Amino acid sequence: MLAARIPGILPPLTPTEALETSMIHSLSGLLDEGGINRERPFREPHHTASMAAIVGGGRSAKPGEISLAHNGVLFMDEFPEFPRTVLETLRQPIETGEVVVARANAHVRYPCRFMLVAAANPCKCGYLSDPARACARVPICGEDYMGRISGPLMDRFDLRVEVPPVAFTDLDLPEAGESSADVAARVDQARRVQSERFADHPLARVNADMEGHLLDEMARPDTEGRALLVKVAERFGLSARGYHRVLRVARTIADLEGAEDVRKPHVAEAVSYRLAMTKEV
Amino acid sequence: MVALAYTVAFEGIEARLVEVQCAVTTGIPAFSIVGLPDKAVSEARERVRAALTAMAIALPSKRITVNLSPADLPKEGSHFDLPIALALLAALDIIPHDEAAQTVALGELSLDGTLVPVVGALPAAMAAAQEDRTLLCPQACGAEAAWVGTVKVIAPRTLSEMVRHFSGQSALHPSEPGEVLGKIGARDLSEVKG
Repeated sequence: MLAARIPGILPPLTPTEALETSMIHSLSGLLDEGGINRERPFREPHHTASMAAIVGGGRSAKPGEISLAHNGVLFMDEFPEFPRTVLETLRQPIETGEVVVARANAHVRYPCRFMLVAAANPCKCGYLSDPARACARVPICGEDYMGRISGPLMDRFDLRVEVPPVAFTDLDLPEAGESSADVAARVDQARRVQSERFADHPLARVNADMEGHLLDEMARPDTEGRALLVKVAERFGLSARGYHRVLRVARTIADLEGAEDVRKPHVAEAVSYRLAMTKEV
Repeated sequence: MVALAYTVAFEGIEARLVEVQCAVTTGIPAFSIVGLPDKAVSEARERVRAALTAMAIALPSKRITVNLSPADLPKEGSHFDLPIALALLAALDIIPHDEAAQTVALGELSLDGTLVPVVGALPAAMAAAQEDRTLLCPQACGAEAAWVGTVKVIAPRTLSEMVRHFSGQSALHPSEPGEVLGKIGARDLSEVKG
């Protein structure tokens, strides 16, 4: 329910992006009435989907779900239920933003810059956090279930949030949440800051694209922030990828707040999103 | 004399230009398609023959050879019907040669000559724009292809409409881009509870 609302808070596709996405949709015959959609695509494959259906392939190397979600959101519900081979194939496309489908009679490159959103139950029975109903195998059962998602793949998730079950008494409450339009305005503001930042850097469009020098230059936290990050990295064994990803998230949090510099609270928040469901080493 | 028309073959989201050559020569009467066609492309023969018959055009008792060049690139899909018909009509001097050679065509034919929409009109239009040619596609694909903007899109409903357009009897208007779809039934974040 939450994931399906993500396209609503993202800024509309730019004309170039809309054309890129529509080209893929055109090849798959998904454009209705010849209209081009400026809303970001939202793809929701079922967990029985095959590898070819997700990354692309088949006899004539057709685009897969990750390419259909180009410039949009790919939502994989019940993430651990996907076959392992399918999950691991996502690793490379997430990093590079494109996928090369190589077959005997075709060698095709598809773009796939997507936001991956995954959801999972905490364990097989689903009651891990509820002592009254949890099964006898707690907590091993939860670890086993999450263990189906490999470390390197999990490492690529920047934001991890534990979602407690909603009591049905809460469902009767009047609407209290923010509307999509309000959130979208904030996102739009942050994106505008980013496009100004990367005006001279053709390779980067958003904070997630920052690499190497650019990352050092644009997302350097203040002394306190850095100290915190180093401490966390040591204690929780952050990978190099994790370290860089925390910096990018911290930069984005600062942007959302309208802050010029990345400070300790921003780093702390970014770290908290990474460390949910992580144990100390 | 060889008549030319152009179409595209898809390699990922890239559309590669394919030249359709049609020669009508003396010899044992036959209609053959060469240049690595797959099953759907080979079957274009029967659809083109029937669609021409529906327009009261009979194939001459001559040897008709259609070559899809580059010949080593595999051709897949049903969108080769229209360019093959176009090259053939030009070879039969029913439409002007230069008009046929100025277009990039894609579309499937039904037996009565109606053009059936195909996938990939947008990438094809991009390729046509690069080559500075007109795009010819079924009416249902016209709005999608016209999005490219820098390409003239002619989208007839039937094969006979196309013939009348090229022979100057009743010219068709170029297609307009389709509507930008808004947020239809966008779901709102405020509905999420807990």
